[in-house]
Amino acid sequence: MQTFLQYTILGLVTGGVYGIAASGLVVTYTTSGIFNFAHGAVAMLAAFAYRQVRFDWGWPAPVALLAVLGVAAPVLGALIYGVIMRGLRGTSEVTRIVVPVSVMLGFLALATWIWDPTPRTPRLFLLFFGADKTVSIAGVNITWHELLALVMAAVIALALRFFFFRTRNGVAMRAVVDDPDLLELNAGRPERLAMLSWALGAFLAALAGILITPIQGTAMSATALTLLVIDAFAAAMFGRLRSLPRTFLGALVLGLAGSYVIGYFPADRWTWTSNFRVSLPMIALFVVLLFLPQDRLRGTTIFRTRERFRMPSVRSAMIAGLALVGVMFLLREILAPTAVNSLAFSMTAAIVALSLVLLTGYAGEINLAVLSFGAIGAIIVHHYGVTGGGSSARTTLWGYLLAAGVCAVVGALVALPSLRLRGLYLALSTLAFGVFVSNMVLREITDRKLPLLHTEFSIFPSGNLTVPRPKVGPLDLAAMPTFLMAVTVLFAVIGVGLVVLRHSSYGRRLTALKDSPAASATLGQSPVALKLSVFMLSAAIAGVGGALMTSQLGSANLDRYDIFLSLSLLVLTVVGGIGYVSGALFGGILFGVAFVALQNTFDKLGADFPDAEGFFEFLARFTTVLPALMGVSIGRNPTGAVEQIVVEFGALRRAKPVVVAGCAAVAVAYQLARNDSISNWWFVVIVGAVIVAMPLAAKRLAPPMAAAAPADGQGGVPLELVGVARPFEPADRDMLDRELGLTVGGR
Amino acid sequence: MVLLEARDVTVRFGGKAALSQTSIDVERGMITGLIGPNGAGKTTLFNVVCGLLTPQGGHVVLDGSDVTRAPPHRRARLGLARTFQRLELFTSLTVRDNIRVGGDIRNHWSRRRADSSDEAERIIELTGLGPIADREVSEIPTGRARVVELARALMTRPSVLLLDEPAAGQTERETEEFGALLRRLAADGLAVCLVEHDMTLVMDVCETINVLDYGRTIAAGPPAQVRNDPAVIEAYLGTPEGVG
Repeated sequence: MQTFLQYTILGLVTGGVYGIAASGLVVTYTTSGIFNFAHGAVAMLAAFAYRQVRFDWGWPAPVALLAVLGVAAPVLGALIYGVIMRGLRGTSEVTRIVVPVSVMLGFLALATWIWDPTPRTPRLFLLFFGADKTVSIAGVNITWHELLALVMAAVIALALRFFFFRTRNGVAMRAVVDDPDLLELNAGRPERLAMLSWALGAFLAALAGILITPIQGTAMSATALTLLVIDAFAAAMFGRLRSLPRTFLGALVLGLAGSYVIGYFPADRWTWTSNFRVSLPMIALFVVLLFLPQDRLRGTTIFRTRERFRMPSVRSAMIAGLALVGVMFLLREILAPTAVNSLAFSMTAAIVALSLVLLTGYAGEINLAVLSFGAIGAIIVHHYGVTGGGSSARTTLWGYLLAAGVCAVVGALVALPSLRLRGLYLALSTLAFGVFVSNMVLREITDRKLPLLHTEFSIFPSGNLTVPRPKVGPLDLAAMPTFLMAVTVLFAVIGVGLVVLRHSSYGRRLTALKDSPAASATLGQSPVALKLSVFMLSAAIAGVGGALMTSQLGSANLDRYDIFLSLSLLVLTVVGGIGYVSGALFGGILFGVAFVALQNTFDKLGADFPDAEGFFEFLARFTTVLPALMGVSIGRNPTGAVEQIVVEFGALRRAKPVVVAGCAAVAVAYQLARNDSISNWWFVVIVGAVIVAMPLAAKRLAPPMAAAAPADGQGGVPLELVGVARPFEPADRDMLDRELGLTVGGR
Repeated sequence: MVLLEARDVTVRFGGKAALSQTSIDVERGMITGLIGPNGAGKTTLFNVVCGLLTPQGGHVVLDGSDVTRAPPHRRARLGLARTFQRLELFTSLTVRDNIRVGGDIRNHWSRRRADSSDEAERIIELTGLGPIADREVSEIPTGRARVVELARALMTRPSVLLLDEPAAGQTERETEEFGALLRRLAADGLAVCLVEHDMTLVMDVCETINVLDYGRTIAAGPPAQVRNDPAVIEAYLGTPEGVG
């Protein structure tokens, strides 16, 4: 009885803290329609900041609390909304998920920048009032801190209830949920209210972060803390992201369940108990999704979305694919082995990113854990796709095909519960899946006796998965340059395949589903079947890509499939242009080499110029935040970078000499690099400069568009300015008559 | 022969009744009008009929089978098609592909291994969309966009067609051509239900007209009868006493 009570109280405490965090999530979601993926990161930042001022700088607790909870957190929340989220009105659901995810990644990078993740002495975070202050309730000792957490949870629950039903701002916030336009007509100010709710949400996240950190009792880790409050997502889902009482109830259930698992599972026999405890909220999230009622099918809320992707023809896709293979072949000749290595890694990442182009770019659904599917693919190839041993070990084509098949099936299982729901829920399911894979599947590192099969088996042997290079028929891909060419060709083939798919009837049906689910359904399309098929196909591609990625590395530990890496790859692909195959290439290269190369360059520059070392060190650190900043910029330019590049280079069509000159310059540089007259870095710099200079030169040299126009007699003057910008002539009257459909004779 | 029948449909949004026990019959080869002031519940009734909204009460019967609980795609496969008052075109596709996709979806569920392009060209010809077929749908004027929605719906080879304010945004000439097209479709055996504010078009093409006001049917019958119905005049213009 004593132990039961002990675990119950412990569960209630964690549940209460989950509840505080989850209610913050609900408040922001309902008032702004944006699911704040950065919620956990805010809690993490607050916990770190509080520890800094309280324990490192020795501020008294009340002052530190006031500074963090009263000032810093609400200001941060209001800023996040005011600067970033407010601009997301009228964007697609994809953008509204990717931008908050970028904010989360940015905060994580910021925290690792400010607070060294591997400090010499572990960062401790003491309990409020100290560990020795306890009270005894029915023979169970609980600390004052735990009591405080419980009291705070109750106070917050009651206060929120009071706020939403008894105060002017609270009632108005509920009105924002129902109809922001109507509220505005009635002199409410939805924007200000949304900002207020984000401030409130950040406060609640911060409170939860500060309360839970010392209870965990381990050294602080930014990622662990961020994920910890992600657990609150599950609680918020109990309340369907709307109801606060249900959210609190869900939080308590989760807290208790976790506590009882620790208390009553035989941890010595079931070594997976603690992993299971950690994954429990994510499993719960999954189960809750099963029971959520189906959403109303909605049409597009906006007729003209800001995201527009022009589809290349199959022919130009094939030309681009051949060009890519050609360029890669030439590059391979001059690049240093390390560069070939990173390029090969990038290409495997680009293949994984292709799965996102299909799923997100074509079908408008989101997978937040592509690399977890990659991990499954790698595991399958490791176990069932290896022939030979030692240095002659190779992976077989069958292994990769099997990996694709298994990932498709796993994808179906992951997606099924949430396919009938909105895109956000599928995104959350994949997030749950990703955390589950990292916490449970990839931690299965010891041999286990399988109950019925009487064999010993380990999913992720010794925490290090080896996947040798593939051998397809006579083609041995063991050497890295060959491997690079093989993955480049594979990327091109899948890429062209995707363009063909997009132009097929299946592709049109996918696009229809993405653009207007309601219209697509009333034409006879079953949304669930179509979403399921595309999710399976996408998971298969991700699985093969992940297996190849592992094969490129030779072996990988579980950090390679981290959920945060999946999120980075998604963000970078969206930055490149999620609707384009080239966006995947862009994302893969950014993910694989660009930031590392940039960081190395700054480090090298810092070493070469000791005077400016501080500045270059700053720049090197800054590159870690850069992906997130780029992700946030999607809010302003949702179509991505590739589109802009294409538009920029459009000017080249009218300036042949510039193209010739540019190509010549690149060819000369290439020849020089090949002779080792210039280093690879100079080659990259020259090519980069030429690429930037070409459109600029073309714009300067090419005849301006307006001068070419006056052939049609209107002199390029807009219709409404005829008679103002130039004299009104009889021909204009005839033209107007024609445009208005008036017959000239019948007047 | 009645192909579509909505019986005693009731829909409440919160405490407000958008439809109270509203009924409508749509017959083969006929154009049935559904008119009423703004907010009368016309679009709500369409949403119930095509399955985007579940009613609190009543039944929807399509070609003899009760589909009140069936999802939208199932009803579409039974021959129901519609257009939307707030345009629901596929903005990433061209006009031609918007129309083709209707055929693609039909070919997919009916397991026909056929190409949708020939049929699409026929429908484009029929609806007169040829000159703008290669344009992006976001670039074309609203009036034309409504015709694209009709063409897309026709690609599913429907037996019942619901049109939600198809003439809004069309020029007078376009509306005339549209009316002629509707008559031809009805003559080929299609059951058409038309929600429209353009009274000239409604009185011109409809055989029967149902009038909704505050979610209730206040009149039903041939155009001449409905036109002179005092309840209809009151709903549209207010009572004579009210004016004074």
